[in-house]
Amino acid sequence: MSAIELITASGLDCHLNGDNGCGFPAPGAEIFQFDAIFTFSIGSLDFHVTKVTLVLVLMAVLVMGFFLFAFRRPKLVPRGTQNVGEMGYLFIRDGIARETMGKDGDRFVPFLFSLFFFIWLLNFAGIVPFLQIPVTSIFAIPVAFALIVYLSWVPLGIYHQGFVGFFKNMMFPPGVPKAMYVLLAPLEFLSNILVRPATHAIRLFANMFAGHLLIASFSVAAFYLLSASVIGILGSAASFVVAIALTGFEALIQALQAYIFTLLAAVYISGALKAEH
Amino acid sequence: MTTPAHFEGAEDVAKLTSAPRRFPPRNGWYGSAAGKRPLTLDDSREMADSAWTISSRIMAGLILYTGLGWLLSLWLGHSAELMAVGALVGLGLSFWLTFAQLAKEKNKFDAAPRSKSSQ
Repeated sequence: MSAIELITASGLDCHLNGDNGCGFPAPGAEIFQFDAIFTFSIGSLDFHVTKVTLVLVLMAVLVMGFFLFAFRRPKLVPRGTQNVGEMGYLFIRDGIARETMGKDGDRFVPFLFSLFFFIWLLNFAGIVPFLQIPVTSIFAIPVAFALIVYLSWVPLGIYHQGFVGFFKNMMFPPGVPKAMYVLLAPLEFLSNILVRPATHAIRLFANMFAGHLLIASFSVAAFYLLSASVIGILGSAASFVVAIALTGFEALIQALQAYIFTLLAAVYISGALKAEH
Repeated sequence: MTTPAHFEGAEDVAKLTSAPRRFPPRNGWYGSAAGKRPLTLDDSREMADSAWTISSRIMAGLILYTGLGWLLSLWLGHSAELMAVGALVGLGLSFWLTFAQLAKEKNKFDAAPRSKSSQ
């Protein structure tokens, strides 16, 4: 039973020192699970459409809609939304693509651009009233993004460095004694091929998961502590203020995590294009 | 922009502690060491790559050598000791590799000529 259900089940009367003996309904992992709004099946596959699915679709439509609108009639001297769109584009091109790959990076700007703005909006859904679920805190979503990046840089690396060269450059880092390669080569292989995509996904997921849980905890605490006692009133007010502050903090983290995810994608692609020397 | 030098290296300190004026910083995330040349693209690319690999390298070292220790302990019949030894070996190796690469980068960076433009 979710925290909200616990609260509403007791007739909105779940407070500190209440007569119904209601304990603190601490939100847990269940706040990330939603009931299906409707289901449909294609063949033998059942699709359960939840709130998360709807927010995901909404954000995809929003990000596409905004940039299609911004660049519908591009002018030489940008105005209005085109200006905003171009600022976003230049930020990705100069701040991420050229920063990591130089001029080579220009052909990856569309990919990085889509990645950054889509992930940012998905994160941002966490603090939009009524949506209030960062879609990237559902582990499957960051995994999908990390897989897209992984399936981009591995073939790129094999294409640019050759099959043998790619694995040779990966497993035999320069600047260490030859004898150490026996111990280091498997370590580097595991680090690059398995751990790297895993940490790429987990970094985004864990940040959004923890942030959402924190906001939920303090919001529930502000409600639960509200009671006719000094501790209750002070605690409730403090929790409320912290919940608001954490919302602002989350707004920062959301942009930062989208940026880091995209920067890492660019760093991986850059490493695939050019071997370390 | 000159500040009076109250002590030797005051300018270096000021340069190191001042916040970057551009986002993201022009010389890459890792800044340019005071008095040295500004980082080139290649520098920042290599440093960025090695900085981001540290976490996954440490994790890989732990997983791989703890796993090897566990396999060895299955074979030899000791229980937890070999896993602990494996974890330490993996951690040590990944740290050593990280420091070896950082030292290599630092040598390369120190060997590069100083530029006047970074004053």
